[in-house]
Amino acid sequence: MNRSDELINKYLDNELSEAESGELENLVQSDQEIHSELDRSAKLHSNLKLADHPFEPNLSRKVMDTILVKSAEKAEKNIIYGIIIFFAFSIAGLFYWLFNGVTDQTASVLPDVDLSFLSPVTEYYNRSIGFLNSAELPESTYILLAVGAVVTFYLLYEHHREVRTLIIKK
Amino acid sequence: MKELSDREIIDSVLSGKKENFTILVKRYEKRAYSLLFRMTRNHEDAEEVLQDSFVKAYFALPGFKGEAKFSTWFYRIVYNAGLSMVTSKAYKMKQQMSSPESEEAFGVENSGSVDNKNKNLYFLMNQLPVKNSLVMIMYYIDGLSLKEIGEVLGLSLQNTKVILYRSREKLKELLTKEETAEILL
Repeated sequence: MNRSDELINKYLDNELSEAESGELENLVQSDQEIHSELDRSAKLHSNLKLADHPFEPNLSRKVMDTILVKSAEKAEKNIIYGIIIFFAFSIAGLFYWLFNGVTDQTASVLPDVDLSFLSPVTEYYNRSIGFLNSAELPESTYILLAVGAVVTFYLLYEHHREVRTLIIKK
Repeated sequence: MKELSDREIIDSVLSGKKENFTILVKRYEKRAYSLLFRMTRNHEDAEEVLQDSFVKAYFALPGFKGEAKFSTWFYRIVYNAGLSMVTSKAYKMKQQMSSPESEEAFGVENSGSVDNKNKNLYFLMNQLPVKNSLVMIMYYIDGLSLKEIGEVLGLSLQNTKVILYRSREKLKELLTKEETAEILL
């Protein structure tokens, strides 16, 4: 790109400095070819500014429908994650109750029954979810955990059934 | 009625008026579509990518901090989505099996009406190499500044300027070649 082209482009983009503006003026006055090139470029430039998009897409409805569906899917996913987390905690609580609470209670009621074979499992659960014990959870917590597990199973089953129905319908 | 700014619309969408997002869709669909049509050369693909871009933008709105203008931010999403589409294997295979639509759909019309003049200029811009025509479309039709175009395309200001200058030259050459200079100028 030569100097005159550079100056013409700068002129079109309103980026000429005062010195460059004078330089272009001199070039235009002394060279007829540069003069006509400037005219041509300026005309094209102003026509290009009037150029329009030939398309009329109408996507707002489609976009909003997709957004609604995706939002619902996202919310559903969050519910599922919530249920899964609750389910995991419920199961962990149940195991803890089974291998710790039950063995302690059995030992107090039936002192002759040897439950020492369960001790490795009890120890394992004490190590992994022993925080439940340190928190000294009341008995009602275990009931809540059991109810949570049942509800979780029920919700998962319902969801599975709905999805299955949808697939069959499709 | 006063026209809401992009920022005001975004704030209202984020505060729960989801339906206001349609205002942004209507504001930008035409512009972004032109860009995507140039990239994909296919109406169906352009529409698909644009729809995905709007959905992507909607879910990314909470992360939009307003450091750049919404238009620049959105164009960047559109450009990247278009780029992913045209560089995908499936798209390349599809392209090999079908012919591009643009030439058939937008031939230069020999009528001096303003409407045709505008369409013809768009058609000519589409004949330039992809990056050149994208810069031209964003600069002249969408009214983005050179700095914004650079941000969208990931180019420096200087490179964007060079591309714009070269595009003008190429367009002038095309005008002479197509013998449409009289119609368009």
